[in-house]
Amino acid sequence: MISEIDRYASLSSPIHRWDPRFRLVSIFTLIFSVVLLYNLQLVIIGMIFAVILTCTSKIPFSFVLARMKLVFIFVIPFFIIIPFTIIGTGVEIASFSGITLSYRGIEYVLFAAMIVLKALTAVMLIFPMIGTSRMDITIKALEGLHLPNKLVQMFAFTYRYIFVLDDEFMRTDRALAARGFKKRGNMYTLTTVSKAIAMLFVKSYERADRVFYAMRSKGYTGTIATLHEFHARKQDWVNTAVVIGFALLLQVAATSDTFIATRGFI
Amino acid sequence: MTDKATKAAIHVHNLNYAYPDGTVALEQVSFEIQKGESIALVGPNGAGKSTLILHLNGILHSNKSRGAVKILGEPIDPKKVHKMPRKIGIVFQDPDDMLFMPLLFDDVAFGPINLGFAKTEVNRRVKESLERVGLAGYETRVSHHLSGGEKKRAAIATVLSMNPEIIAMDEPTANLDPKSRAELIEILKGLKNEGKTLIIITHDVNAIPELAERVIVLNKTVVADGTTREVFADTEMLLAAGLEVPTIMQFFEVLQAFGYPCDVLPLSLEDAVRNLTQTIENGSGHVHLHIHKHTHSEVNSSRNKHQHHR
Repeated sequence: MISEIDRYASLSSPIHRWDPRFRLVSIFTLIFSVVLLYNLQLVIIGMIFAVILTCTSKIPFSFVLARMKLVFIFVIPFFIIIPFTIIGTGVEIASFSGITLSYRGIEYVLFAAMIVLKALTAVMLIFPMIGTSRMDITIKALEGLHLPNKLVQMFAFTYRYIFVLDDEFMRTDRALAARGFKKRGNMYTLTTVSKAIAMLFVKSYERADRVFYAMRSKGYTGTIATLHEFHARKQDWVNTAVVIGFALLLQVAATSDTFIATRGFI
Repeated sequence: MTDKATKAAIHVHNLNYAYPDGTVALEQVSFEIQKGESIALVGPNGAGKSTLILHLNGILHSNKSRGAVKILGEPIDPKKVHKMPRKIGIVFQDPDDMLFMPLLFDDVAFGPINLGFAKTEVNRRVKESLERVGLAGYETRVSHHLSGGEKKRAAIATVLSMNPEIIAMDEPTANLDPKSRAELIEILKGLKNEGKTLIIITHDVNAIPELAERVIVLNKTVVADGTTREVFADTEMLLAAGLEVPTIMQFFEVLQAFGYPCDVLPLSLEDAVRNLTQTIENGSGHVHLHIHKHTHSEVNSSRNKHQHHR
């Protein structure tokens, strides 16, 4: 079962009470600001701010960490790949079959750390950003922000049907298991699972057809409208000012001499 | 009576349809349903029932189907499907296909918003529709967390909120537990009593007598069309179409073999109670059953008559 990102949407915290439209824009700006940084210290400062935001939102840290684990697995190879792939004039330490490790490469571990931290910060910020209100409200907030309707629809449908697809795949998985299929590391497993996934695509295609029929039967002409009401209060503006202010501050600091770019591409 | 009032709710004349792969789904289908009628559409799996229903608002169409379907007197224009919900609402078989919005409120509001109603009217319709299907207060529920029975009812609410004159439903009572099924039948009866034109696809023969006064048997083409009693009397045709008659009817046929005096077989439990009461009252407080030398063979032949594998 796919765990839902909005599981802790019913908590009460300053982040939860923040108008979702403002919250989305502010934290999204912050994510961009952090991603655009090229200084390890600044990234660390950004990460500390992300941790503070997450703590303020009262979303249990274990919940956040469990989901960041996956991202970590994706970015961890940078620590290995980057030091070995730097082509420079540095002193070689070791060389085997074309792969060279140099002192220069070891310096680049810091660069790898920066990339990893940026990724983790961005993912962590997603939790206070969309984990603090129910998904439906987030979707309405996107609509309230006048995002292109097609985009909002794609977002809404992805979220709605990911669970249906997950259920469908789970049923297939159980049907396989019930007939003695066991996943092993062999070709048979690979072909069977890929066939099951292919069937899932076919089923999804047919379901998409049926959903579209249902929508047309209910008068759908291309745009989806829902009823929503958002009222910005003073506190919403204050929160926004703090977070966007911080995002801008990071960028201003990045231009100063104090924080020179952690050695990146030469 | 004005001209408009005499117009049929649904008029289908020589409707043909083949799937993209060439398989014929519907062949020369013709029937007419008057306003306020309640119809059960039965037929074996793959008989084209769902395909037929999708033709009723123009979602499915082909060159061969042009002009074949008229709803409330007007031929269907496949380009104006979005205008159809005011006239005809379709409840799909799988409620997951119908509940696609983040919240149940949005799903039920989807139709009325598309039809251009004002906010207060939308709110009123959502509240009323959810009440009608016994889901009052479910506005803020997420549809993938509902039970199967709740989903089925929610799907009906999303159509009721558009207040169409005609409602077509694809197996509304399928896959439900007995309680949910009973609740659903009550909802359908309510709609029928309100004067809505209903067309209900179902395999649930025991529910038909309560819901419909007329049955259309479809097997690519219309095999039979008549009152519920007429259609159920033709056991051979039903068997050939892979269907059966209500259990209570079969039981009273067996009772006849035991000497129970009964000219008209009851179709539903209600009918049966009435019939028994009448018979016992006529028999001055008794009902007389007996076994004679032909009883067993008569019982067997009556039972064989309804068997699918002989």
